Amino acid sequence: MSMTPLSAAQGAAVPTDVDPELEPVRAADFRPLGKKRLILQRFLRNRPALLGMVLLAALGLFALFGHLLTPWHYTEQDFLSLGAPPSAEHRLGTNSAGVDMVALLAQGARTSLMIGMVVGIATPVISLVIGCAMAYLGGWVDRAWMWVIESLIMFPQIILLGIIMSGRGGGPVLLALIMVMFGWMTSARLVRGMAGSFVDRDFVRAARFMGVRPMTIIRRHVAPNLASLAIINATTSIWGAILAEISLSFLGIGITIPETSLGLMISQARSYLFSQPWMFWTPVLTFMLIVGGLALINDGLRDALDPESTAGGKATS
Amino acid sequence: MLKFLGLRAIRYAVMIFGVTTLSYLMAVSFFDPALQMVEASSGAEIDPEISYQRVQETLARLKLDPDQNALERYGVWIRDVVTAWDWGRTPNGGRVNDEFGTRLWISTQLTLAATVLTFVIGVALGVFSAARQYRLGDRLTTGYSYLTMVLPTPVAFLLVQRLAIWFNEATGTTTFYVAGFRSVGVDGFWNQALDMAAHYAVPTFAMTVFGWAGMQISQRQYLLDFVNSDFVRTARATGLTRNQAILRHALRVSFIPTAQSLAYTIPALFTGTVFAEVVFNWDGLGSWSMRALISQDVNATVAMTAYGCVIFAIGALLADVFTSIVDPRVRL
Repeated sequence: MSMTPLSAAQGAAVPTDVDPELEPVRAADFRPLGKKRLILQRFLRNRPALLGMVLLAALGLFALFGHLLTPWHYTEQDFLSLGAPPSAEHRLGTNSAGVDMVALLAQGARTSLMIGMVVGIATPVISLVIGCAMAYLGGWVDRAWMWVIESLIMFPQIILLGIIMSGRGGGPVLLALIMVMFGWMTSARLVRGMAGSFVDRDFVRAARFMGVRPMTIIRRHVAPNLASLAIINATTSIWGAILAEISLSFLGIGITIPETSLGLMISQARSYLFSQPWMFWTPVLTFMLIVGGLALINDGLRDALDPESTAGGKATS
Repeated sequence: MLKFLGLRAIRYAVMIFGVTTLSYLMAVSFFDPALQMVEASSGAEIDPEISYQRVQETLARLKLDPDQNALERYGVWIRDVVTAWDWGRTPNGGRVNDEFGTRLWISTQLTLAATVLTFVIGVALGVFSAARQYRLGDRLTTGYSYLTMVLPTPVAFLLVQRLAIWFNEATGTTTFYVAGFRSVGVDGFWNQALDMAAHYAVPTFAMTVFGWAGMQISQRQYLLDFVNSDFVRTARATGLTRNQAILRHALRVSFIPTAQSLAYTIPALFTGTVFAEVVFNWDGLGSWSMRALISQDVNATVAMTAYGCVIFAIGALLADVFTSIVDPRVRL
């Protein structure tokens, strides 16, 4: 690993004024920092990124346990307070159907985060595998997949999802799966382009001549070179998925009642922007916090994974 | 050049055919308009069996028989499209051709101005912010772009709509219309023009102001990639100022990826139009296709898919033409 000589040199450079007899002992103690730990340390040193992690963890906890904060259930209607402003009984008010906003928000955040996690992690992995395979195998495999990808990009996304989702009860799990199935094309094209510069390198050729099977080469030699791209892609595709869910639910082809999500809450608040602003602003602000946390993490990851970046401090332990 | 474009056009034509076929088969197997219509008309008939039969008869007359085999239905449909350019009927009996035709013009009117403005402003601001990297102007424009990119489109449009309503209420007039694309009973050329402007202003403003972000960020990135390259440094070494070097050497090269990305901004625009039409209540193609999806209307949905594919193909062909204009290495 390229980091080893550098860290070794620095490790050796520090104790110059120490008793020379201790030197061999220290050298034996010294273990080079692994790549993963190095990246982790660089990431943890980044204060804004940590803030993002904390923010996201807090939102995750709220999504998981938020329903304990209120005696109401998110499908339960309080007919005595329809569209009531925040009060002691309903701490974030109720919506126009009389549902407690805390319960609704917890469930909505849970759905949206679930969709974000599933889509945001599965999509980059799929596009990484397909993109690398296309670049490595080349020939007719590449061309055939390119046709598939271009055709799927050509298919208007809203209509494609609408055909499958409409009249199907709008469950969040189905929506997430469909978003994964039809969401990998653009980044697979990107990965294919970037992997193209690796497939002719000597280490890949060496592996091929040694008789390693193609899938193993892709997994062991090509894909890891693009892993940092995929990791950064993952954070952006998490918020992309949450954003897409909001858009689809707003149009009535995403999540539908009795389920709930941030998008459905925004769409329900559409006509109450002035009269019951809490209905609109709570989901919007929650979404903003999720995106803010992800953006900070994304920045931190970018700095931690980029070997030339100095934003996270020098590469010393 | 013409040969190349012809080959591309054939390729896209094949893809359009494939995608349209796929969408037809998907729509036929997933949609069940009969059930929707029975639900919608429940109460009119006492016996649901009779009402179901009646709905089915109506649908069969419109060549929408839900019990027919999907491939057979596809055969009938594609023959009508190819021989008579008849895209079929909606479950209500309307002709897809007519309904599509009237709305196409409305949507094009709405999109065209916003598209051109988005593109021009986005590229101009991208160049501006790249030339002033990390200075106040760059920070402000790029920060604004990131903000609008994370704001969900429906939320942004709703906020613009509320802003316009607030303006109307504050001034006590109806300067802007926030719903619909024209008023009824306006006579005279000037009055109509004014009325049109009042209806267009808000959606166009919303689509432009929240649309240029992607363009700005990518143009800034492309130009920055070239600003620090060797040939610009060489140009500066010959005595050009930084701005001259950027203007004469980096700018044109940076337009190449922008032109190539044109193809992929078109689908985004399609989506943007849908939101604008739904929020601002225009009866254009976007809101029509959403209604078609919700009422499980096979033919209208497929027509919209074909339209989206054609728009994409036009964008991709335009991208090829523009690339060949700005990129001296491409000789078609």
